[in-house]
Amino acid sequence: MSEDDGRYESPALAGSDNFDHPCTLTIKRRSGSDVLLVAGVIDARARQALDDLSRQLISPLVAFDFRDVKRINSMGVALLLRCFKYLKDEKHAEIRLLNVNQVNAMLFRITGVLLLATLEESPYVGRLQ
Amino acid sequence: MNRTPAILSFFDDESTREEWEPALAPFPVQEMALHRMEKRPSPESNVVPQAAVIWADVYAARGREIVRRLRERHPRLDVVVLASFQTPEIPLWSLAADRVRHLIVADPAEEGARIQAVLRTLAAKSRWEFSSSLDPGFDSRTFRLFDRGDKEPIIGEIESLVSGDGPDLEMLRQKCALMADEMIENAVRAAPEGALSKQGIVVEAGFDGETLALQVADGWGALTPEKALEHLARHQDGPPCADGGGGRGLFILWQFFDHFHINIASGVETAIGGELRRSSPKAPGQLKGYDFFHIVSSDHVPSPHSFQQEGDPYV
Repeated sequence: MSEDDGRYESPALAGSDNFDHPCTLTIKRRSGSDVLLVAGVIDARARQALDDLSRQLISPLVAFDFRDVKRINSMGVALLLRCFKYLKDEKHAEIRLLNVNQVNAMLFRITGVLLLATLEESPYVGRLQ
Repeated sequence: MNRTPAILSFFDDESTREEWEPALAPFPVQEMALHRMEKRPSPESNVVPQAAVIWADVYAARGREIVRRLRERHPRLDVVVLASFQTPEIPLWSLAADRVRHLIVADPAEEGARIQAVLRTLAAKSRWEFSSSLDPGFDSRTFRLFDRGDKEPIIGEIESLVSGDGPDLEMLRQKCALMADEMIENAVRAAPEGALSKQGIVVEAGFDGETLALQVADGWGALTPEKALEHLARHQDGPPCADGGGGRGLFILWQFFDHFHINIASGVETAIGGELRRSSPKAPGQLKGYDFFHIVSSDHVPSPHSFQQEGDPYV
């Protein structure tokens, strides 16, 4: 099994080195699926990274792993919605969401993200170390 | 002639009225029924309504008509809709159309003090103090943000207010970080050019061990109560839209906060805030209340962190 990794990172905020957690997206290609490891804060800065990434995904099944996500704000939700809509409409992909903590699961429910993607239930509560 | 202030109340059954009576007891409440409103008040009437409280079931059945009649006589009357945790979802478009700036969803036996504080604030036409519900001696932080780059350190400091281990505290930290992020981004996005670096925005947080209170205030006052209600209503009903982010942050705040408030002095100041409880009785997605206190400019009293430069006139 070969793994092709792609890594995309949102720009860092100047002056907040110890506190900034820019969004990073790492692709792990598996047989029949792409697994996308998401980390950091998903906010407006993640736009380019998500746009670039969407074009790289090729499998009919795409899993987004949110284990290392610190926070997703409303702009991050908007970008994820745009990404998921693109993957469904243009690439006809099935999207699964893995290791989503309770707060992000609530966020996805109330913002309609779960109309585009399937949440794999997890009691995961943890945070970025 | 002496004018008697009163809160007009609309309940449709005795048991509900009795449930809410203790919470309303400190106020001069005048019970109303729709048929009584059909007659014009006599010229000798000395009742001056300060607000109207309408029980959710009454609002669902006859609310539009009641509010219309009330506003015919008292155009600027504050209308409060009262609901319980069992009340089904109330369409926000209806509340927005009726300019209902207060929706109280509570168990009156548990939150009587808070309900009274809201009505007192309404009657005084003043702003909601973000720490109103915190126990004395709460731990607090105040920050002034002049650049978006200051956001993450401030959020880190707010998270550090909630110290300790355990899933409930971890959840509270995650929620408060998200709430702070949304409120800061909201204020930053609304800033006129150059205003953020010149005036900054004020971020306040307090935690008493059970309740965490947050508020972000700006000095541009771009929001109106009607606009806020429109945003909430659009996201309550609409399908997810990637480019429909306008107001999504406000909707998220409303859904996550256990109590959500906005102090609005149009053109002068907007302060968005709320409370998160460690042991919250409400889940996101459940019917939530809101309080939008519209401070009319002539009544505006500067906050302790006033944005007005000396000599600036109020709008």
